[in-house]
Amino acid sequence: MAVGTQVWGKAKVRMRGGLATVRRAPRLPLAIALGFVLVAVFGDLLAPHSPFEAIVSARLQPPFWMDKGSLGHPLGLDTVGRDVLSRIILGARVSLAAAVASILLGGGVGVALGLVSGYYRGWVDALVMRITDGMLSLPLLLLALLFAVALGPSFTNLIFVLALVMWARFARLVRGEVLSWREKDFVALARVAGAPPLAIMWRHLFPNILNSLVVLATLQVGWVIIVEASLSFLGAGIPPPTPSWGSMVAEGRSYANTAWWISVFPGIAIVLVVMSLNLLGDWLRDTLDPRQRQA
Amino acid sequence: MQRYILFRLVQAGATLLAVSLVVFILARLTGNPLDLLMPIDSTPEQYAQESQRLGLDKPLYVQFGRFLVNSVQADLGKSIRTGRPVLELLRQRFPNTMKLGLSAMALALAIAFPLGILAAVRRGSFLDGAARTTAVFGQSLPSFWVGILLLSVFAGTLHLLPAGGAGGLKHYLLPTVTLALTGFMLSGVVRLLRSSMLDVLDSEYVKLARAKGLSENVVVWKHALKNALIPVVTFVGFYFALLLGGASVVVETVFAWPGVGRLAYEAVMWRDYPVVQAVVLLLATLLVAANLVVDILYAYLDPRVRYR
Repeated sequence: MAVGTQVWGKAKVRMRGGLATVRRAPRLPLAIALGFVLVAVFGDLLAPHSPFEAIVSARLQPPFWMDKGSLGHPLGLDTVGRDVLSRIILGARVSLAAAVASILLGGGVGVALGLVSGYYRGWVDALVMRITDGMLSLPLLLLALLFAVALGPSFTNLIFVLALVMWARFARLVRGEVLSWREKDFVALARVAGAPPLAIMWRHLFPNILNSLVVLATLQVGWVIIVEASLSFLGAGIPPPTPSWGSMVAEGRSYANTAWWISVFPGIAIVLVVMSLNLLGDWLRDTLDPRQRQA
Repeated sequence: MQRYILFRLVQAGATLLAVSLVVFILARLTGNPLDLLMPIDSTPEQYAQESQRLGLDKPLYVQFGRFLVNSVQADLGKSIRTGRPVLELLRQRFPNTMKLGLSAMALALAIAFPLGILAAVRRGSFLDGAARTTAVFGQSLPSFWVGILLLSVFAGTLHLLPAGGAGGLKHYLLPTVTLALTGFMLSGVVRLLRSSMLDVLDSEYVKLARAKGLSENVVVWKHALKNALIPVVTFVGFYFALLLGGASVVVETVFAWPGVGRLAYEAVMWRDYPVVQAVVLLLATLLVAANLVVDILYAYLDPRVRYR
């Protein structure tokens, strides 16, 4: 019992420290990341136009500060006359949804496999880790492309593909952490007290690896957004006409010299969001997880 | 040590066997190449005939067995789309991928080395911040977007550089810059070199070298750098394989570079099974081999790894 309180108390301290440290997070990246989430959630209220409505007669209209631009379409119109700003706003939803769903799925599978593998060790561990090693030594983008084409373009399939190329990183991280935590006294005491393995993994091991998991997940969001955009760019991600930042860049590709705004703005959106998430992830690692700190 | 190497070799072989099976099945799930290649007015008999000629009418396990047996004998089959031997395609395309990859690596390392070292030596300075920002920035750039931007500025607007394809030195410039900036090589090496230099600079023998009265330059460039390079060098090989295997598909497609990455992309889109299988296996072999070398080097340098 005393052991349980101790761990709980530790977790509480961490929580309080967490709230205080959020205030010390790098301001700009935090603001951009929060803005990204808000835009993704409330996109349909914020977008000035429908992302599908095409004004064919005004196609390729430039941004408002250029000749022939208008404030009605601040970032211009695309190749078929759809509002670029509205499509970027609704594209944020696609990026965030794809990233969150695939990390929940891939991360969930990875965490479960890592917990079981690190806790039981033996042949389960050997098998899972060999598959993980194999997975991590593959050309993942090419594999994702192949999977995406094999399954056909759809949002659900995209999530599945992204989760598939991601679970191994989570499995490896969790397994490594579990290996060190399972030798601690409180785990041994829980086992002696008769706690079933599942309870030990969930109540005693999982809370202790949460910090590292949060760090990895934050860093993975940026990576997934880039992979999703790359797949959409290659024509194997989100099927049109749903707006996605990657496919928007692809659509503007052959107009890059004349109507540059079609591919430049979605690209800026990707860079801003991914860079903010990466900076936040680095900062989280330094604050939450000193052992992984890269000096 | 020999046991460890043997174990890792068997594991690498098993990985590649599993990959070949997965790729074999996946390729066939992408659709029938004949749907894209046959004229629309073909009769079912013509379809069946073509299927038979390509061996696509056989049960899957027969096709897979034949693929494995032939592959081991260096016969990778013929492209369904062009009819050319796959081995010949690879021989023609792979050097281009290698050349582009090597020049991108050279550029990335030329930026990463001074940045990583100076960041560690002047820890907390402006340069340190710049190094960190460069590392994060590189990781956050989508390569296809950077490629399109560079093309539109230097080829489209300024007409200074060719808009794609391979040829003279001018053709290398844009794809090399894109790959070097956006790959993991630049950001990875900056981070690794910085932290490894910091570790070494804090060590006893560097303190001793300083205490002996050696100049700071000699301490940093001779004593510290040599040791700090060990982990970096082992990982450069791995990053290079990653560069060839992942980034090349997108960058080669954007720049119409005649390498294996673009070959793979086109083969996937045309359902050209033999080519897809061969390229994925080639890239996977490179990555697995790089992993193997890194692991064995580590086991050699750090005996604790062997007994895990």
